[in-house]
Amino acid sequence: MDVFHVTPFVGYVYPNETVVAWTILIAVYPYLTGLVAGASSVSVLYTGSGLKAFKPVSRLALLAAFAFMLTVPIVLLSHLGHPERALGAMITPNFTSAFSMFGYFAMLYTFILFLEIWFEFRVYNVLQARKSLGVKKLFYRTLTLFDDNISAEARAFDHKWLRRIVIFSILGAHGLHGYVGFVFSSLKSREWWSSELTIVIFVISAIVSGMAAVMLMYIVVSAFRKVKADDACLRGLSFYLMIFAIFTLFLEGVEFVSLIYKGKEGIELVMAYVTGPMFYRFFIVQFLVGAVVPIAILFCVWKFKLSGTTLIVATSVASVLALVQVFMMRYNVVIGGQEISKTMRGYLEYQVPVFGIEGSLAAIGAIIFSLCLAYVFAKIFTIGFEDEVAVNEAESITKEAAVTNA
Amino acid sequence: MNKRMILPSIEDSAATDEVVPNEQGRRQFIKQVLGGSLMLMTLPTLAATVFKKGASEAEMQHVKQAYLEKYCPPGYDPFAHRWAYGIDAYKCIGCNQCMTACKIENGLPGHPSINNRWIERYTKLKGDPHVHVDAATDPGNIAVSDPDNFIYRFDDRYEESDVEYSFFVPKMCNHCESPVCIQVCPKSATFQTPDGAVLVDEDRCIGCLYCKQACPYGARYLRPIPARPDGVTRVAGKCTWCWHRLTKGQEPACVDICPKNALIFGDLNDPGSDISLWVKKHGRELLVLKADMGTHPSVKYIGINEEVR
Repeated sequence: MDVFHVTPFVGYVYPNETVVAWTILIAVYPYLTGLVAGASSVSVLYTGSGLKAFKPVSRLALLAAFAFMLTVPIVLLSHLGHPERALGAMITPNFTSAFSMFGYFAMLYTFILFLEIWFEFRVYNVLQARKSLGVKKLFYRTLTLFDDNISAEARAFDHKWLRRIVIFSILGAHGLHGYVGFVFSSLKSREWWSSELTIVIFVISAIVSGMAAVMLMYIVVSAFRKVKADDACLRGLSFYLMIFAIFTLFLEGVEFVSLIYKGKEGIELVMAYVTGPMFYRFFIVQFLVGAVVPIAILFCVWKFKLSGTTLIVATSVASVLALVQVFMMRYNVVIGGQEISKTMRGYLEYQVPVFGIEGSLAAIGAIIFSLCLAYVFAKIFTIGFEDEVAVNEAESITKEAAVTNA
Repeated sequence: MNKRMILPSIEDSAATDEVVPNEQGRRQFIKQVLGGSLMLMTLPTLAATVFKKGASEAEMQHVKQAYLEKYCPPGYDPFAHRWAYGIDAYKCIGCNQCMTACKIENGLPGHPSINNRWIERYTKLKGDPHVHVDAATDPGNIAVSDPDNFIYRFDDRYEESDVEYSFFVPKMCNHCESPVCIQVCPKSATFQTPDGAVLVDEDRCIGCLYCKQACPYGARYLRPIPARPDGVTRVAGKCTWCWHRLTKGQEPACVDICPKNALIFGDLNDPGSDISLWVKKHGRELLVLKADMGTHPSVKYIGINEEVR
């Protein structure tokens, strides 16, 4: 068996370029950080901005963001030649490397997410601990850090801190993902990556993917739980998704047109590449099917105020296409950037293998793993607001009792 | 356990009304986000100012020292030399013997996709506006080569063509004075020795290949087989100027084997060395590759044109 995979090429490429260094797992990496940033944004729409329409998905989005975030290092480590040495990069980092800070930012953001979840679900955990027995009780007691105070003052305190943490959470999420964009755009050796717009496109498209993922998860979860997905929530998400999808399409278009218009050395090669092996991936999947079609669908949702099953079908289709678009964009950045040779005299035609750590199955596995994690978190915590309902009920009971006694 | 015991006590107030913030709260939230942004933007700058120099330099010194102790034989003083490499493309005949010698010397596989160095052939045909370039990875050249036995040849595809001009250009790591690979390596596994060689500490490298992406010259690869008996795989590999030979007073294997003396290597600190004399003789026509990248290559060329990148 070959210890390296040689990629066929057209024109002239440097010999060492024929072994593509960063494969599909590295495309999954910015995809996941994008999902984190996007899901985090959805969560903040309710928790921070107080937009009530997004309440049904806020906890789902928060837990999904945490699950995606925990998968990111697994994906990165799987791709390293020596993952066992990776910790050393954090202990003795090279501060001039754009990549060396990622570990710190990722850890910091994971901690912020952890805090956010702790405050968000503290009341729920306390209630679960109170009504559970044995190991389950101990588990939830541990999650509450053995503090079962859920008095009004304590909840007000939680709420105050949650609002503060959410500020850093949203900044951290987009900062982290923007930083991932910088990891690529800071390399001057590749024309395809070194665009000033890359970071902005990464951040905006992250919101698209995160919203689409949360919306799709919400629809699927509602179907499994046999409850009706909230129309107002879906319509609200659809509207925001449409706006950000338009932004993404516009920025990607500007970036591409700018590259062509500047017409720097090797532009003939870039044109041959995008109209050749990349045509289907770039123009058809990323621009047409992944961006124009979902925008059209979401526009109809907004314009005709769709509801019920039609709304669910429309938003599901639009979400799936938007997710495909953002993944294809990540793929076209990571793999496409490497397919265009640094010689600017040729391009590679990389084929993703099915099996192995560089294969498509590994990439799909990583995504499924993150969804499984999200499922586990949803089981441990909740995507509903049972705790809030319970607290409200208890308060009304005690108030009634007080009135009766008086 | 009844419901009352699970739920909050009578002292709890109606704080749940505050769970959803109002419009004013939203404004305050946006203000806080902006404030937080400023804070987060300031922090890294502060951190960079405080930590960047000291930690990074100390770290680099540690790596250098460790490497020197590990690989530098007693008696070799890397601070006493300033190595440089010259390539005379007028003399290169494209025999590929340098590539063969390099692969054998440095334990590389025979496959032409993993190289410390290679030779490019530039050919301009009459009436054709484009210059054609090929190297050992070209299927036509592979067909006439024997990579398993480290034999590499250029095919005779232009034999029947009306060739305007043609020349060969050896390519390799440029051992830049401002190397991008050192800048981007997250763990300082890539470093520059005091004598100017850019090396990789294979016991430190995590194999992320960020250096491969950053190198404008395509000089790096992931090592598929160990470079030395106790070496490792899956780390970044590159030309070392045969540093293990330099420390013993020998020239790099490629320079040693070149039948036309097209490769010139030596110590710039020694005015009588081959490279010093060559630089003195050809100073006005010396070129470097991709000068616009700001990497300041230590490998200088003569006999190439603007088509060579």
